[in-house]
Amino acid sequence: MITTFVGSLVILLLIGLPVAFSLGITSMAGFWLLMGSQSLAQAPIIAYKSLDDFVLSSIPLYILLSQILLTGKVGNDLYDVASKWVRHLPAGLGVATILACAAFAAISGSSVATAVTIGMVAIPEMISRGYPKELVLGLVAGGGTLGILIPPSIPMILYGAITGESVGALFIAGVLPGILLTALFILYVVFFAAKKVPAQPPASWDERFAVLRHSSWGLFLPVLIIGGIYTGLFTPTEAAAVGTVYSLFITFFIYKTLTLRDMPAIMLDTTKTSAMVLAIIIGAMLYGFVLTVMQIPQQLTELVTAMNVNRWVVFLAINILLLFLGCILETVSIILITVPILYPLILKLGFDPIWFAVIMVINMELALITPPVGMNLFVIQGISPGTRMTEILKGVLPFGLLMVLTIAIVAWAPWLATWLPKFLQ
Amino acid sequence: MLATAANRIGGFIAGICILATAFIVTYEVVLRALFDAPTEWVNEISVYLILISAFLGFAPALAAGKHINVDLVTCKLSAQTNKYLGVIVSILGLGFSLVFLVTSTEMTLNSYRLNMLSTSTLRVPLFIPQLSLPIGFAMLALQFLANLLNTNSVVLKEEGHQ
Repeated sequence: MITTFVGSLVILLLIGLPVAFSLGITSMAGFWLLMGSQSLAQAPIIAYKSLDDFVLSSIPLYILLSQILLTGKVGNDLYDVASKWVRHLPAGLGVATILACAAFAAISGSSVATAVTIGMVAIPEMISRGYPKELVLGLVAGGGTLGILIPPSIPMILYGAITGESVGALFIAGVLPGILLTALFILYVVFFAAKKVPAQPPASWDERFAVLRHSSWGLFLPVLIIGGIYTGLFTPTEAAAVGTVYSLFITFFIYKTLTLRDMPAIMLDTTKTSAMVLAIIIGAMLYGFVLTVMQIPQQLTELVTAMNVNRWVVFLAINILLLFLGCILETVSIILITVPILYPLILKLGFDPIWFAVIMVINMELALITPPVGMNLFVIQGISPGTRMTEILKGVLPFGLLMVLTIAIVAWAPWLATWLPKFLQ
Repeated sequence: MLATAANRIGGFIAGICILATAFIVTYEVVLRALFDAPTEWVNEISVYLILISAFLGFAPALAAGKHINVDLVTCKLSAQTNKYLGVIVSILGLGFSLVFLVTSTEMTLNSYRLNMLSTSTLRVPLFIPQLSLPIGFAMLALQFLANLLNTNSVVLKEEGHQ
């Protein structure tokens, strides 16, 4: 039964039916077979209820926010500031790219948005200064993944919505691991890439302060969003709304990079992307409902506990599963399909659910850069015409290895994920 | 044609819903922070707006090819095979949308007949946000039908040439 259920999902996925509808159709068949044709009336009720949640309302808002910043070119400012301040360091423009990605990650909940926004300005700049292409592409594809680890984070919102864990606590849990991964990226660039790139002259202090003054409105955005959430001034959902209105204000009236004529395209793009994500949520909720009726999560938990192996072996197996899924699926689907099954197992094994969310999200960063399906690889190829996928893959490999290292470090030192949320509570 | 027009209107309304949510939630934050006067309606209404934007957005996203799929196998197959798979995909999607169209219409009619209200102080008639489901799935069915007719005409044309 379970084999048929999972097998038919895999077949539908492989013939190219979109993930959301593959999940939906398999679930409908499951409803019919398990509970009779009458039960199909339940499906729209579940679909409606899966979105009837203020926490999930933040996802379209974070997508809208990213779209405004992208079209309004706020990413250029972040990169400009970072580059003027650190470009004289060894491989300084590379360091600037990582820092700009980390700063944008503190505004945006999406890695794809981070990679595109920073990549649009950083890639041509570094190429024109004689940086090798592979390094440039790897920097942006890898650095962009910070978007989902450094809060806000759409995957953390999904994890919170499925498990009922506090999204605020999940966000805070990503801060220290996010800083650690940023630092590892920078160390790699400074020590291993510096000999391959030409040094840059330092910017004068006048220039540095001028760019800081000019970009202060944009630089205030991460302070507003993260500060607002941590001081309890507003919830993660409200932060997305406030950030959106603030960025509309600065792009319309301060920077004047947006006009009313840009709005229809921004809104339409936002609608399509957010409908895509929300459709997968509905499909996954239907699928999860059938899994629960079939008692799959309980059976898996019982099976694993009966095997009586060391819980770290199970942990390793989960990571390998996530790595495998990360190669063939994108992150929203992986989280929505696996978390309902893995969460009870994690609790049963005595692991901390907040810590596991961080492990999960770093795995999702890997998923974004592992072929054949790695969203960051696609978008980087999309914004740098004439680039072969192998060039991006070669460049991004060291960053992927650093993510694996970070998973190991956070597994070995769980306080990196759990200390800050407890401290701030 | 019909599908394109429906998507344009639906997509526009959905976009307005998301933008409106950003403004009303900010309004709530400002009222609470500055005047200590939280509203009772913002959270509930924003959930409805996002719901509506999602269901109305499904079809425009499909038309733009935004719904993520796995192209692991399909990218290795011939154009001809992919066209046949495209037909199967559209038929499956059409069937799915029609089942949802029928069942969600029943759900919405039930809420209307029984005058079901939200449990909050607002007491919003539930059929209003629920109406976005039958509308959204009708748009989705139209778009899958349009896709089906498109692939079909391409397949037939190619066979005619041979």
